[in-house]
Amino acid sequence: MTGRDSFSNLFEAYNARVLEPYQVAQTFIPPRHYFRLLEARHSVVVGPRGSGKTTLLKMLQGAALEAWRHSRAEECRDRVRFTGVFIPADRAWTAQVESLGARGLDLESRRVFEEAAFTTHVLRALVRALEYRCHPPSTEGLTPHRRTVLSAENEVQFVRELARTWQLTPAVPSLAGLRRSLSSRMLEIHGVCAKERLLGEKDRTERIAAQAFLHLSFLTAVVAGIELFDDFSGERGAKWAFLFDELELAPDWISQMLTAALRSVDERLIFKLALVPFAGSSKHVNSTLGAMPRHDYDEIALWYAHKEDGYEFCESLVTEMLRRRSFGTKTPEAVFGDSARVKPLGRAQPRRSAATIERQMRSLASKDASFRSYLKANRLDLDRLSAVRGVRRKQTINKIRAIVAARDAFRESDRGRSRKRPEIYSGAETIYAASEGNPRWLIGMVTELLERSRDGQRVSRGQQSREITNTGNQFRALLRTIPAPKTGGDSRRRGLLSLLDEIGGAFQKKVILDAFDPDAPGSFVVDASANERLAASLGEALNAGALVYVPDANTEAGPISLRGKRFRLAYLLAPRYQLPLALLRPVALSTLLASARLSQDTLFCLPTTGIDD
Amino acid sequence: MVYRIEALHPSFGRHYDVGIVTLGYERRARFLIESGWLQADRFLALGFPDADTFSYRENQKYFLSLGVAIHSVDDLGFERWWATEGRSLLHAPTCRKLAIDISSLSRRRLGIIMESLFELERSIELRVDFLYSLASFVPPIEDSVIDVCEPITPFFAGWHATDAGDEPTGVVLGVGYEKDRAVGVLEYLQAGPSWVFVPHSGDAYDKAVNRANRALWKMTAPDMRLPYNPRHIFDLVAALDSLVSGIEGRYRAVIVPLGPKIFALASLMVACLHYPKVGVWRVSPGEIGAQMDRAASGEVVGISIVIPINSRQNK
Repeated sequence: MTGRDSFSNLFEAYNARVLEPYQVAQTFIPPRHYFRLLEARHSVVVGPRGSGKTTLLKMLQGAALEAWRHSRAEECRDRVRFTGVFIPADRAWTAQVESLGARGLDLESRRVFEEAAFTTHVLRALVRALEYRCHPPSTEGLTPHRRTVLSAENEVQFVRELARTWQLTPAVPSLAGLRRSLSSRMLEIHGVCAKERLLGEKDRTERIAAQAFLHLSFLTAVVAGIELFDDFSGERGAKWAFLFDELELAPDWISQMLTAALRSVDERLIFKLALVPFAGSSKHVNSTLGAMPRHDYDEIALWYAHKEDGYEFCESLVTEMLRRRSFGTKTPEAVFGDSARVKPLGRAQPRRSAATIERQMRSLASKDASFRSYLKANRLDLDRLSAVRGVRRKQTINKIRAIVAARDAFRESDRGRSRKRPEIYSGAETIYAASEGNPRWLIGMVTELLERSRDGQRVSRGQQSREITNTGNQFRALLRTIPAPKTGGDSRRRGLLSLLDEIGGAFQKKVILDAFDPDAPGSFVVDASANERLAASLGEALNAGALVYVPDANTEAGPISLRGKRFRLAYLLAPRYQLPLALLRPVALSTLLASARLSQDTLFCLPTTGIDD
Repeated sequence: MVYRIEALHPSFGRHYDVGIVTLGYERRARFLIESGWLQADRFLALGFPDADTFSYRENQKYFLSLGVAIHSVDDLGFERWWATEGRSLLHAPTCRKLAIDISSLSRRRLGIIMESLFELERSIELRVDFLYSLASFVPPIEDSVIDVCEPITPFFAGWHATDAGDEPTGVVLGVGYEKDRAVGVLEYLQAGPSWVFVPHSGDAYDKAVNRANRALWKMTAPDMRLPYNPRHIFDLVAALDSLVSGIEGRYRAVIVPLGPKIFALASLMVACLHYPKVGVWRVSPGEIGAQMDRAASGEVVGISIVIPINSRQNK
């Protein structure tokens, strides 16, 4: 398989989907979620596209664990007491399975072929895992993990018996031969299905029933396989974790079967499922998971509602990137500067931070009468800001600083016109926040920036700001192609991006253009009046990573339903709307739309004479 | 290989047993007959019941005046209709030279027709000339939304069965001048490596393609972009076949033909050559999309397939 180096695509190169497990391991920095996945229990990993679900699952495979070099790698290898079996999925695969017999076969017959294809796909993944355990590569630098020695004779016997159970006839009685025969079976399934289409309905049920290999149940076949392996390897009660990626793409019956499998009482089988936050079309996923006791599985959310929660991971990742690019021991802050962030109370504030706040407040006061009014009402003297401390400072200066910074950067004058000075989007922690802890975005942005750094010197703030903006624009290009849900009638539908622009524009007005409001809103709650169209659209935005769910303290991760929940725009979109990278207070979505004079009925419709965007 | 692919014979367009055209809303839908390029003993026009806009009525009037048999059905109806009427046509011993004007034909209908040719068994050789009337340049409408992204037909979903089974999807993309649509497709398919065929058809068009795909150029290395000329279809088929041959064992190969329809035709031909391993997907703004009335530029290009006697692949 082609390695990462041959890709120059921002999103493609850092997409774990295209990488072998050992390649994923070469640059893997473990986020805190990873350690929860190491436990030998069912897990549901929820995150938008690009949040690292595939990476985390791939890092549970033997091939990845053995190749991984990190200060915590040994600890993690010790903690993983199962064999990871990664079952890949993507839209092309799903479409291929669903197309089997799509024309000419009745639903029941189609289901038989779809199940057979899925079972074969899983068994092939299992055999790959077995092959790695028994025949790992002799590459240097690998640290053995759960390797098994099967004598040649035992392997032959094992394969012969398993082939009999799975109704295969491998040309060579080896694990590799078994895998190849499963590939042949995939072709055979397609061929039999195509033939059935031509043969017609008469006697079809009997013909299909006669093909025993079409009726293997995946769970039964898997259990038979691992039991047999236990017998031949001498292991007893070993655990196997089946790692299903992109569950939301799978045909409904597969996702239903797998979510139900979380209730499995066979302790040898562990299921780790990855899916997007809003599985709107997979209602049974929501209902199945929602009905299960939380102790049956572990829910892991791969997003950071509060940007600071992602900083540790981002800093580790960027530090490692710097080390590999001969920046030596330079810290991210040395290369990108700090972001003048206010540290939590009790931690030393950077001197630059306090000076920056004061400068911005003075600058804003000089051109914003409404801000001057605020200062007066709160008895804040610009010449004595350093004297404001403790709780009062927290409730005033610290509270408004993000809004002040954005207004100062973008307000030209009291006429409320906006101007461009986006250098506020710079600094190490700003880059972390803009990335949302999304490894793909973060690696992409930082790679581009480091390539512009001369001789390991600091990257200018202007360059950082431009890169964050450019990455945001690339993201917008993707969002532009996602449609909003259907409306009735002949009205043309707008893309998802139009909805996001309305929301972002409404926030921009409140934060930047209107009179200064220390409590300007910057997030929204989907209230009960949101109709299905709007909810579905917001769900698409959530899955794409354009919206971030901000849960209450004790709320579970998801997948989620939207009503009553709080969301904010992804920080990567902030430059477009001139918004600060801060979690501002929520407002009801209906109120926000009403303030922008938008109705849900027309929100998604293009004007009849104009063109969107 | 089921059938032979050949460059158009120099005498193409002179006379056919049957000519299939499209009753659509583009002016160029009637160009081949009107200009005399295409002559046949009988013509068949495949219409769309909800296409009554732009030049549709003029086209309809023209076809009726010539006695062209018109069959207007929606896409679902077309599939059923072609399964019977199209099958009769293709099996008729009197039909030895068939011309199909694909200029205004939808990709889905083209896929259905190609599928039937792939599965055709004949006792007499059949030559099928696919003709394409290049359009005069019309500036693009800024409309990137993807409403439909799926295999052109289930037959063209592809079926991947390499030894490992965990290969990512490799996308071969033919781009057009719809802004950012290509980028959306790559993200939707969660593409691994991507190869991009870039049409070069004239100054204004080339500039529009370049502008519309700026985000894509940032994402793809220059050596992954392959220029092609829509006028040289045979070369395009050869290039596409060569690329697909190289990647089909390593990736789940999917071709997505945006841009000129001639690329869609080439994609379907190559997918048949590699059946069932290669998928061909269609991408459309669906009901969201803007319609355009394209006129013929006067240039006609094409390619032939020859279905030999007793050719069916899966007999």
